[in-house]
Amino acid sequence: MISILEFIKFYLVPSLLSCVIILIVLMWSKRLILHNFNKRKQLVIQNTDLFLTSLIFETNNKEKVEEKIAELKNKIPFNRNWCKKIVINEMIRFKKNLKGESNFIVVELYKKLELHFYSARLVADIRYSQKCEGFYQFQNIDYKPAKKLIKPYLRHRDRIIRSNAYACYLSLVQGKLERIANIPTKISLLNIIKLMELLHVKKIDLPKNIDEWLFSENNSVVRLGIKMMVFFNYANQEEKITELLNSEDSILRHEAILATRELYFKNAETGLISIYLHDNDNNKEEILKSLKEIGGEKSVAFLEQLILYESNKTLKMFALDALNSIDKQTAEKLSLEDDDTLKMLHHINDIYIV
Amino acid sequence: MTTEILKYCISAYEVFVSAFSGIYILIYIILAILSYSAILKHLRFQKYLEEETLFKSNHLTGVSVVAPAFNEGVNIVYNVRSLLSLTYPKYEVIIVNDGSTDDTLEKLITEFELVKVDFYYEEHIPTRPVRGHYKSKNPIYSKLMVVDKENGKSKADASNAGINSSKYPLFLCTDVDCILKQDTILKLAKPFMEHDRRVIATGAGIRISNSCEVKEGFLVKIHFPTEWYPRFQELEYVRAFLFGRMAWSKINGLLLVSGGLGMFDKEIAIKAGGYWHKSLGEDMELITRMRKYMYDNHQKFLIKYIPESLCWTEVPSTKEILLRQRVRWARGLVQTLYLHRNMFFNPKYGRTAFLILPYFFWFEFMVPIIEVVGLVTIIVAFAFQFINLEFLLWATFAIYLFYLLITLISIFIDEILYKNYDNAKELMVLVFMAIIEPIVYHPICVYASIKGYWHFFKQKEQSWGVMTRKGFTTSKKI
Repeated sequence: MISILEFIKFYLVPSLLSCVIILIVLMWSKRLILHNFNKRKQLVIQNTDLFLTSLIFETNNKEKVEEKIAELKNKIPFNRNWCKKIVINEMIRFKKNLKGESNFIVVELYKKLELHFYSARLVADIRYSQKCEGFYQFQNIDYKPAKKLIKPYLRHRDRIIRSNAYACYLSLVQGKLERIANIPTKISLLNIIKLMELLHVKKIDLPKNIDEWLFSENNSVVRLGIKMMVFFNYANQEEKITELLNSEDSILRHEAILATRELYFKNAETGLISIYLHDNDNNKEEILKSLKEIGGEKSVAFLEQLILYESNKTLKMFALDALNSIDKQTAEKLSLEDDDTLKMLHHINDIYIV
Repeated sequence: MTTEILKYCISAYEVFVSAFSGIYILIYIILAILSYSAILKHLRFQKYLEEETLFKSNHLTGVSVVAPAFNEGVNIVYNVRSLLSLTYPKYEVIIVNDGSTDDTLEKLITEFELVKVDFYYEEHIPTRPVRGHYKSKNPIYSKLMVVDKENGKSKADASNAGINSSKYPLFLCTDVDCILKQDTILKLAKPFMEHDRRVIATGAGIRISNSCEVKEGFLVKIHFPTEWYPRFQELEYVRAFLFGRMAWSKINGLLLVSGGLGMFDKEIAIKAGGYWHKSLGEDMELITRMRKYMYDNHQKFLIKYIPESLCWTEVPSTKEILLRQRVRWARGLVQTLYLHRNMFFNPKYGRTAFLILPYFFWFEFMVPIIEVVGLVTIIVAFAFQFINLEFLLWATFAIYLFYLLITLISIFIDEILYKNYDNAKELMVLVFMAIIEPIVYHPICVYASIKGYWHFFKQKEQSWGVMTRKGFTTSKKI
């Protein structure tokens, strides 16, 4: 059996030393390789840009297009995956800056260059990052036939794959958000933001079954439903949204509180006042902001009492702000009664404090 | 008899050090694996949600950027401009003038057309008196607010005043001289909106701006530091941020989010009591207290770290300033560990009690002490000829190589991910620094740590000292 000294001397030190040397050599060589690779990358970008510009902005017949494709393939290492990725990224960049017919040309070129096979390979790759890259390419090129490829991933076990697949799929099927009503898993705030962005970009219509969304057992679907109703200014569900003010889920209550002011549900005033005492501070703030927008006589009486008895000064200030907006005179009268309230009113009325 | 006892003590110490080193190496290997896995996961989901999409959204959580300033007249205008140009749809910049004796406040008032406003200041966290709040008459600067307060002799007190004045649910704490990357707020705020579990703090990598080209508060070009001490610190930062903190983030074990760049959940930070103004390591102390608060209230939480450099800061370039800084850090460490000693091995505090705090005690606090004791032992053993010189040399060489390897892996990861350096030469200089670091730089840090501990145990009056800044008035290479 070898001693510790022998182990250190003959095994540990040589292995560590080898690792150190290998790492230094790797770092050095990677820099050199990278330097050369960057030059090649620039060349591919330049040629792709020239190719796209000439085909998008000039009139070309079929033969001319074929000729230019062959020319591009000769100029760049088109068979390499990294090169295909650059070409697709350039196409996406062009597409984002173009409108109308030119958009269609980019999709056609993508097809002609058979880049959809590359994107499909990425989607099928076992590495999650590659899958996401594939979704990204299909979605941004707007290659509609890919929707069949994407569909199986809508039930993928990984939340990020599922989320990206959803965004891609919904983008390719031009809306048709109806199926979201049946999503069993939680949709995070970031995913909600992603879907809302899709509404903007793709000009998607309000789903036909939007009313059903509010009855979903999945609270995140209800949340998204409320957000969409606000986005589309859809006020047909006033009763249900007011009812949701009493939901057990504080996030849902929060969303409903926001909707009451965004959709100007004056009838929600009583509901808002009734939940105030039992809600958390964050929701209380939002309730007061909503009352500021939709509040009437009931709110004045409620806010007056609140200003007198609320110990949380942040909430007291929101209450005073709401009251000042609904009934300036009462707010001023109250502020004369104590110095603290007066200071708050000065803060509220200061034109430079937003 | 005495010789026998001495021999026995040295043998016992040898066994202890061997076991300690073995565990240390094992921990580092585990940290390396965790770190690699965390970075990979981060990279894998870069395309999860494009930042472009987020920048346009109205649904993002608002963020208050809090930056205390004390006698920063040289750069304040550029620094504030830089902070105002960050990209995020919903944020404000709060500059806290901590009783500066120079023209910091005057410059801000003139440059940004500020007027005193009737701000209702609510002292959620007690601070030194606030003299006033200033807002700009010019709508271009509507995001800016300046809080003028009496000097509290600590960054913590100034930060607390900024937190008290903030209006958004998240706050980002930074130093006014730090240069932040354009998308810093978004990158740090994203985890707060991403996870089901409540995220209470996020942090990211900090790099050194000493030799970078900076024009009017904006980073023009990143350069490797030209001075020796900043170079060593660059090495330390790469290793600590990319290697250690990513690994701790992976197992939700972060105990430190840098004071230079950290985003916090305001509600939890306030409930935990905010920064402690008497602490010399207020960043670590706040995180420890926030963790404690969450455990005490049975709330599950996450502290996340992003493996990207989002902030550039000027570091000490002379031995004197470096020593002062490190003495303060060491004292801050021991102070925090002592203050929260009742958390150690208390089942209520889960992994903080059984893993994180013991790690910090043994492998952060104890290491300098063990090193010094080791050195004394070697000298004594030499004197009494108890030492196996061959074993000592080979074992030392092996430890040195292991240490070097850890540093090189960090540089390698950084190089693969971010290619921060201009050319291969800068990279090789960094490798050279890594080779000489254990001999040239490490002893200084050990000395500073021991001095810091000594000051703590002697209860020497604490002071912040002044970090002399060179300033970034024009585009320049320092």
